[in-house]
Order: sequence, then structure tokens, then C-alpha cells
Amino acid sequence: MLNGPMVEVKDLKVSFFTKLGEVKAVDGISYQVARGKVMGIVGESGCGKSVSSFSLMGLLSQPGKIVGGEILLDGVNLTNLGNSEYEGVRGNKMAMIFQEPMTALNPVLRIGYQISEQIIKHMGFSKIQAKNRAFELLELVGIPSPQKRFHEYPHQLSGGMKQRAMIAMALSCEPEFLIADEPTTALDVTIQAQILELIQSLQKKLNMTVQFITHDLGVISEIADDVMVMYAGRIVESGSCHEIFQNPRHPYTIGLINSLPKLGTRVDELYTIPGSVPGPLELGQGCAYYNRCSKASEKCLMERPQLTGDKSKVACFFPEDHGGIN
Amino acid sequence: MILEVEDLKKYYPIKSGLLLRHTGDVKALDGVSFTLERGKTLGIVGESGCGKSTLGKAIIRLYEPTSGIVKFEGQDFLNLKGVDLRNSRRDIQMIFQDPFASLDPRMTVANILNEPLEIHQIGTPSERKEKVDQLMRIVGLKREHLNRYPHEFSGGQRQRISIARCLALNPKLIVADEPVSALDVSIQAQVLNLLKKIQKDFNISFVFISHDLSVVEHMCDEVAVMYLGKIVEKAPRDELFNNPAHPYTKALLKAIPIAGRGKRENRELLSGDVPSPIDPPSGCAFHPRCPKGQPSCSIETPKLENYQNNPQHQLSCPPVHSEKSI
Repeated sequence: MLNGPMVEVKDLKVSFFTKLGEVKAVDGISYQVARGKVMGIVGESGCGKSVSSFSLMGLLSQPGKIVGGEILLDGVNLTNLGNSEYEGVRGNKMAMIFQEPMTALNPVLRIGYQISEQIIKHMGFSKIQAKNRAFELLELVGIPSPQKRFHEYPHQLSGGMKQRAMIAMALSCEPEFLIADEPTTALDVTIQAQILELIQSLQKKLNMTVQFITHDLGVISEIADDVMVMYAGRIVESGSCHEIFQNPRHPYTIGLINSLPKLGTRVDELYTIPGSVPGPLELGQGCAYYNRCSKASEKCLMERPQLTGDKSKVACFFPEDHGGIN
Repeated sequence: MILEVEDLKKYYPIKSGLLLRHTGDVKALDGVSFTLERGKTLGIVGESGCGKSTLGKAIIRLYEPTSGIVKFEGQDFLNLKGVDLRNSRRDIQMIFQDPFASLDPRMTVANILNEPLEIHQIGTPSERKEKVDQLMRIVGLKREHLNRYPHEFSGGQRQRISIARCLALNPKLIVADEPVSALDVSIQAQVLNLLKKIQKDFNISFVFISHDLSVVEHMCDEVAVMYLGKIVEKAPRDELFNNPAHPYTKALLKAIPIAGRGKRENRELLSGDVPSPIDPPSGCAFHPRCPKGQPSCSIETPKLENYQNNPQHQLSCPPVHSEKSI
């Protein structure tokens, strides 16, 4: 399976079963991530971008459940795997970097232990070998004096250093597929630039496939090859990064790009998308963006638009053809 | 001038040992001076730990400053007591970063907006009611929202409630501490537009604290960049963004990811992290990370001086000053 896409998600549906009813956090998304590419997923809070990544990792917790669809990693359907089989893949063939390094790292275990743990488990290294490998990894992600840091606890490291340690951990078993879920959101801009540079250079060096999740359109445009925009559990637009930013077609994508204050351009008033994201239980049968869209018609209320198109895909009955960007 | 701040300092004592002897200070604010004209907005930018939030809170005496002068409308605000202090407090209000933490979850919106009016004994109950209705209209909330509790609102709506609360007493100055950084992109634009509108309608002056330079560029007339408790550069907006001089300002501007600019590699990075304010570097606090660092930078503490003989553009970086004079 060396030629197909690294990851293929087919009609994935994830629901949370709550007292108030079924919340469709991810409502039928399909996409592929090509080998050695960076796929960016962008969307606002609650759009399902993190939930879809957690389902890929098999980390959904109660009351969340995959209710339909398939996730193929290198041709293997992950949704059929049992717990122990999943453990063989997670952390090994695919790994994840989380948003908040402080909550993702175990505060009572030394950094070195947390990194070498999975090297011993997945790669069958001895303790000494794992330790040496951990030194290499810490050095690879740019942590000065790894020998010293190996024995330190997470609270002794700064935010940026903790994120580096987490990246070292994710890379420890040389994953072919890396999921980065808002890896720089908790960091300052100058540190964010360091981490983005690091992820990019490692991606090239190790020829990894990356799924990069963020709410920040600036970050996504710096790092991604392909982008998909999510809204209320669905993909509304996908295509190459260049295409999405130069020729966005979905009214939501256009609205998002236009509502950003941009450095160097001064306007009196920012463009705004009216209203707010509908609650997960308020979604009807039609387009989820219906109540905020300037182009909405009766058809949009009654029927859900499908994601269609050749190169770039859009889920809208009345997509913008060209421009629309202020 | 509505606000004059002179050499404001806020030190937190470090106590250690069995007897908790005073062994040093965390210099969260180390001699900050600026002035603000009526109806204008001063932006304070910097990374976490630079003291920008401490500055906001020290101005309004949520934290008592260690030393320095804050003059509000020419009056010595830091030495006010009792009734005088309470009367002045009416004119200075604050908007906090996290609208989930800054509203009392057990009060209805009507109570939240009514409370400041009651405390300051403004109007009769029926006049207060009318005022509350008026506030709701100004910030774009509906009357039927009045009897709801904060948890029933989205982040953007909560921030509108905070804004309504701070307008209740017709303030002359608002300190806004990261008012949009907890909000989604599409909601951020709505709140920024609202802040600009109330500034125009009521001639309010703003101290606008943010880590996001593109937001600051959109909102502010003048910008001060802070690093480790000190202002390192201060200039009118256009001057600062078109002609940044301090190496730190330049690095910040370069580090911002810009949507649609395309993939970026080989970024010019600042090395290292923001140092701890407990043990700041000697001389210029930025020198360990500075691309222009010279041996003298670690010895002499730089002062803000006019840059290129422009009294409005102040800079504390001797190497850059001398560069231009040659």
C-alpha cells in the first residue's frame, strides 16, 4: 500500500450520547491525506476538528462513539481494531501532539521516563538503549542539555520546552503519520514560530504525513499543503492551501478570511459573520451555515449540500466563483 | 491628557527560607511611563509574563503598585481614598479576558448590569431599569436575555455582557485586557467592531492590552511594546508598524503568521524563551535573545529615548540608536 493515501477517512460519523440527545460532533466527513503532505484542518470551537482527530487516534472517551464510517491508515481499517491491536498502532505508526503540554504530560513522571516508556514498549529497546534514544530525540527537537532535562519533571520546563518534549515523545517511534492538535495555540508568537519551524523541518527530514489542526488561519497557511475547513461537524470546503486562501468559494470560508484583522491593511470596520455557531442540537436537515449565510435560500434550509468538485471541493449550492475576498 | 502614568512599578516580594525572609523581588512592572489622550487608544503588546496584564490592573488599582504615579484627569489616582476613590472608580472600568470567569454565574444579566448602578446609587429603580435596557441595546443583546444566567450565553455574547456592565457607569477610560483572545475568529470581529463603536459614540479612551499585533494595529492609535516589565518601544501606530526599530518589535512582527501568505520555511527565529522575571538578565533584558546584542548590552540598562529625533517614537536600544546616527 505504498502508493495510496496515508490516511483515508470515509463518511466518518462521531456522536456523543448525552441526556439531551445525540450530539453529532462529526457528521459524515470524508477526506484523504496524501503521503508526505501536511493536511490542515481549520475551524472554530465545536466544529468537530479535535473530535475527528481523537477518533483517528482511538482516543474518544465516553459518551463519544464512532457511529459510522471507516478510518483507513495505510490501508488498514482502524475502526475494526480491538484495544490491544490499537495500542500497537497508536504511538507507533501514528502519534499525536496535544494542545496543552501541561495537561498532556504526566506531572509526576520525569520527562525522560515518559519518552523512553513507549520506545521500550513499541520498539523492544532495553532501558539503556531507550535512554540513549531519548537523548537523541531531545537533541533533535532542540532541547539544550538533554542529559539534564531527561531527569527533570514537566513543571521545570517552560511552555515551549514542554511542547518540544511532547514532540520528542510523539516522534519517539518514528511515526509515519503525525496528528498535531493546536500544537502552538498555548504558546507565544515567537515560540510558536520556533515550534512551527521545528515541526516543518522534522516533517521533511522524516518524510512524515501530518494532520495539523488549528483555529488560526495564519498558522494553517504557513504550514499546510492542503486545507479543509470544518463547520458544525461537516467539511464545508477543501482544497490546496493556495486555492483556499486565494479563491475561497464557500461563504463561511470567505467570511472567516474577511473577518480577520490583517497586518498592514487598515479598515475602520471589520467584516463580520452575523450570529454565532448553532448549538449541536439545533442543526436541521439543511446546510448548517444556513442561519448566518447571506446567500441562503429555501433549498439550503431543506437539503444538505454535499461536498463536490474536482480539485477543490465545496459544500454549497451557491458557491462564489471568484474572489469575494476583500 | 486623561491618563498619565509615570515610572510605575509593581514588585512581588520573594520570600524564602524557614523565616520567610525577603530575599528578592519579581519585577513584574519595572518603571513604566506613558500618557493617553482623551478618546484615543493605547495598545500594550507583549508576550506572556511581560507585565502587560499587571500594568492594566495596577492602573486601576486592582493591584496596588509598589511605586510610581498614576494621574487620572490630572488627579493623583493612587493616593485617593474613600469617597473620592469610589467616585473616580466610576470613570475607569475594565474588560477582562475570560468572559467565563468574569461574570458571576449566580446572577442574571439584569442583576449584573444593575449592580454597578446600585453600588454608586445612580437613579431610581425605574431609571436604572431603563438604563439597563439601553445598555442591552447598545451592545446588541435582546431584552429577553435579561433574565438569563451567564452560562446560557456563548463566549461572544458574554463578552458583550461584560462590555455592557463596564458601560453602565458611563466611564471615561476602559482598560481592556485581551478582550477578544478567548473568542473565535468570526466572533472576534463582532466584538472589535463593538468596542470601536462605543469608543466613537461615547468618546471613551482605551488602554488595550493584547498579544495579537494584528488586533492591536486595527484598534490602537499608539502602541507600546513591553518586554519583561519594561516598555522597549513606543510609537504612534503607523510609525511603529511601518518603521519598527527595536529588534524585539521586529521579531514579533516577523513571527506573526499571516493568512494567505503561503507556506513559509526558514523563518528568522528568536532563540530561547522569555527569561524569568525572578532572575532577569542584567542590562537589557532582551540581550540573550537579541540578534543585535553587543557586550555593552549586558552591562548598561537602556532607557527610552527619542528615535531618529522623533519625540513620538521612543526606543530603548542603544545599538539601534547609534546605528542611525552614523
